[in-house]
Amino acid sequence: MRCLEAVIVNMLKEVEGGRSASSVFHLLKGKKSAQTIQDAHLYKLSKWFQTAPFLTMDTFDQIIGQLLEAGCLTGERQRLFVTDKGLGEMEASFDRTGNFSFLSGWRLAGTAPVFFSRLQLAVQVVSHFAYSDRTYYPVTRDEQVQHWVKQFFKQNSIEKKAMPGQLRRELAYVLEKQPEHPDCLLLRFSGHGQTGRTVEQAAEMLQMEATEYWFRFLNSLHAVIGLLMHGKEPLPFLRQVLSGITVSIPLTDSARKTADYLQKGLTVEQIAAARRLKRATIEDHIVELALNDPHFSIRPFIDEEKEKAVVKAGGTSAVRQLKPLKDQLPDHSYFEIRLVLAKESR
Amino acid sequence: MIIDKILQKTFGFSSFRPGQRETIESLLNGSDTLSMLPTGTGKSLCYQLPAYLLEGPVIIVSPLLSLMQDQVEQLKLMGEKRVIALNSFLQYEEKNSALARLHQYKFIFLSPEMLQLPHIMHALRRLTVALFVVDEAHCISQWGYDFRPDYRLLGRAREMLGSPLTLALTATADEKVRRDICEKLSLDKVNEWVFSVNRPNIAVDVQVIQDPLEKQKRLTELVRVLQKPGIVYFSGRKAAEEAVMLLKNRGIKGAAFYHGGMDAGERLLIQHQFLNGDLDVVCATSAFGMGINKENVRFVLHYHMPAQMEAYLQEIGRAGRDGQPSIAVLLYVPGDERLHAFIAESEFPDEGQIRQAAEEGIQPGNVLPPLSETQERFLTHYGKAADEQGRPKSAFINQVRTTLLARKAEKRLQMKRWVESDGCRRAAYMQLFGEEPHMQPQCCDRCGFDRALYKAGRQDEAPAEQMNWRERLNHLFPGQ
Repeated sequence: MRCLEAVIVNMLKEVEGGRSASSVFHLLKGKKSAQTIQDAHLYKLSKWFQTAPFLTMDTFDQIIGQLLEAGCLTGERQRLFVTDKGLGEMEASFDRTGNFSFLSGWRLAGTAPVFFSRLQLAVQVVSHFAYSDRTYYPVTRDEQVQHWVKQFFKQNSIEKKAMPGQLRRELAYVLEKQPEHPDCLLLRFSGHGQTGRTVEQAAEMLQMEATEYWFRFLNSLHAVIGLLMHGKEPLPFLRQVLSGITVSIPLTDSARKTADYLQKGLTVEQIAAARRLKRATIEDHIVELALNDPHFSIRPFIDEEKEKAVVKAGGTSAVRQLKPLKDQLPDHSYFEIRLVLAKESR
Repeated sequence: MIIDKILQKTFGFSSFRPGQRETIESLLNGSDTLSMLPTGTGKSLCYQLPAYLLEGPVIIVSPLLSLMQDQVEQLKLMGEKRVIALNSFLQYEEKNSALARLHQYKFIFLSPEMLQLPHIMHALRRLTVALFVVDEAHCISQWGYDFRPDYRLLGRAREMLGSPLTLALTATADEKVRRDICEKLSLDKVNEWVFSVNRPNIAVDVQVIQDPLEKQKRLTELVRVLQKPGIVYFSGRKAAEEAVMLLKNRGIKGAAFYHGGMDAGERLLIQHQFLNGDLDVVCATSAFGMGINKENVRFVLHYHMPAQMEAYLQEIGRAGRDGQPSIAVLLYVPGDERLHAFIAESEFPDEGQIRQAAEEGIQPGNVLPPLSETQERFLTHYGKAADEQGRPKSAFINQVRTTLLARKAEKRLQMKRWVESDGCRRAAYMQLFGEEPHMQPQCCDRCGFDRALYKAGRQDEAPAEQMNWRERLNHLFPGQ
C-alpha cells in the first residue's frame, strides 16, 4: 500500500458509516464548502485538509476501486468500510513512514505553498548573490511572489553581505529541528550551480515512493512553519519570509466573479442578467471591490463631479450614515454614495 | 553602424544571424515587415533591438502564455526592467495596477484575447505604439500551422491602435500563408524577408519500423549512442512518462519528462535543469521547447510522427542552434498517424456540443460534456462570426469544423507521404516551401550521412551525487 492509500484508508476509517468516499476526496483537495469544513472538524481530519491538491476525481476513483478489489475496503462507494486487511496494511505503512504528526492542513494549507514559494525564490536570490552571479531564471513565475521577494530585499534590515551566512544558519537550525530527513526540503531549492528537483526526482534520490515523499515534504514544511510561528529562537530571516502572507485580497467568490465580468467589459445590467442575480447584489459586489482593492477605479460608475459632491457633503467625515448624505444629495443614488464612501475609507 | 553597436553593448553578440539585420533595417526605415526566419535563429532580436532606437513602447502579440513568459524572462535577464506580460493569469489587482502604469513599459506582451478586452484596448490607445509585433504570425491563417481563431481579430486591433509600424514574425509559412498574414493584418506595402527553412547542420533521419515493440528498443539504443543533450517528442503525456521509466530502467539516469499536465513549478524546474545541463534527455509533448534558448541540443527524436511538416520542422529546429552538427530522427510505425486524427477531432466541439451552444442557447461554460479551453474558444469565436455574417449558427460552426478537420487531414497525409517517400528528405521539405533544393553532405537517410558524426564518445556516467545535506547547504551559501 502506497502512502497515499494509507492516508485515504485512515480517513475512510474515521468517516466510516457516516460519510461517503467523496467527502474524503473533498477534504484532501481542500474544498471550501460548509460541508467539507464541518467534516474536517467533526471527524477530526483537519490535519489532512488540502494536503493532496494534485489529486483528481479520476485517480481517486481508481484508488478506491483498487482498494476494493484488494479487499482493503468493502461495501458501496456511498458507504465504505475498512476491512481488517485494510487496517493492517494501513498501519504497516504508517509504521514505516510515521504518522506525519506535524501536518496541519486546515491551518497551513493556504500559507505553506506561499511560504515555500517565497523561500525557494529567496534562497535562489541569496545563493546567486553569494557567488556574485547575476544571470539566472527565477524559480517561480508567480508575479506576487516575485514582487514580494523584491520588496523584501529592498526593505530588509539584514545587511546584504551577511545574508548568505544568516540564511544558512537559520536553515541549518530549522532543518535539524524538523522531523524528516533535511534533504526532503533541501533538494527542492535552486541556487548557484544547482537546480531544484521535482517531487518525483527528490523521491527517487531519497529512494522513496513518490506519495510518501510528498507527505514527508509537507510534514517537514508544516513543522518548520510551526517552529517559526511558535518558537522563541531568533530566526529573523525566515520569520520575515513567513510574515504577512495573506491569501490574496479577501473577496467573496461571488464578488470575484463579478470582477471578472467587469474586466470583460460587461455593464452592471449585463452582469446581473448573465449571473441571474439582482442588480442590487452586483452593486454590493462593486462596493466590496471598491472597499478592498486599492487599484479599483470607481469612475465607470460615477463621474468626477458627483464623486466630489459626495466627498464635499461630508463623505470623509467619521459619520458614515447614508441617510443624512442622501438627503443632502437628492440626485445621487445610494449605490453612488456607498461607492465613494468605500473608496474613501480604504 | 549604430545597430551593430547596440547588438554588442546591449545583447552581447558580435554579429547578426541571417535575416536579423535585414529585418531590423527594414523596420528602422519605417516599413511594415514580414520576416520568415527558421526556428532557432533568434527571431526575438528582430523586435528587441529596434525597440532601443524607436520612441515609444513595443507591443508583442504572442499565442502562448509560456512563450510570453520565456521572452519576458530573457529580457529581464539582460537587465531590461520595463517589461510586462498582460495575460489572463495575472491577478485582477495586478492587472489594474499594471494598466495604470502602462506608459512606463518598453515591452508589452499580450495574448490576442487580451487585445479584445475594451479596457485593455482603451489603455493601449493612450500610448504611442512604436512597433506592433505579431509573433508566430502563421497562427492568423487557416492554411497555416496552428491556426488560432483569435488571431483573426488582430487586423482590427492593429487598426484601432492607429495602424502602427508592424512586424510579422514566423518560422513556417508558405506563400499562401504569407499572403494571408499580410491581408489579415492589412499590410499593404510590406517588406518581405523570407529565409530558407533549411537548417544545413541538422541531418534528417527517418526510420520506418514495422513492429511497435521494436520501437521502444530503438529508442533506448538511439538515446544511448547519440551525443547528448537531446529531446524526444511524443504525441501523448503517458507515452512520455513511460519512456522515461523505460530509459531509467535501462540505465539512462539523466532522463525526465515534461508535459502540460504537470504542475507549473515542476515544469519550470525541468526546463531549468535542461538549460543548466543537468539532464541528458527530456521526453516531452509538443508543450516543450518553444521559447527555450538552448544552443547545444544535439538531437531531436520523434517517437511519434508529428501532425504536420510545419510542426516537425519547428521541433527539429530546436537542435543545433550553435551551428554544430546535430541530428533529427523520426521513428515511424505504420498507423502512427491515426493518433493525430483522434487528437484533431478532440480539438473541436462535437456536433452535440455545437447544438447545445448554438441552438439550445446553453452558455458555453455549461455545455455537456464540458468543453476544453480550445473548444470553448472555437465555439465562442465562430458563434460571434456567424452572428456578424447573419448566418445560421449551428450550420455555420459545423461547416467551419468540417473544413478545418479536412485541412488537418490533408496536412497529416502530406506528412505521411514525406515519411514514405524515397527521395531526398531535405529537398522534399524545401520544395513544400517553394525553395530550390541543393546538395549537401550529411543530408538525410536517403542521400546518406556519416552516422559516426553524431555518436557520443566514451560514455562516462556522471558519478552519483554524494553530498550530504550540510555540504549541500554550504554549497548554496558559501562563506561564514
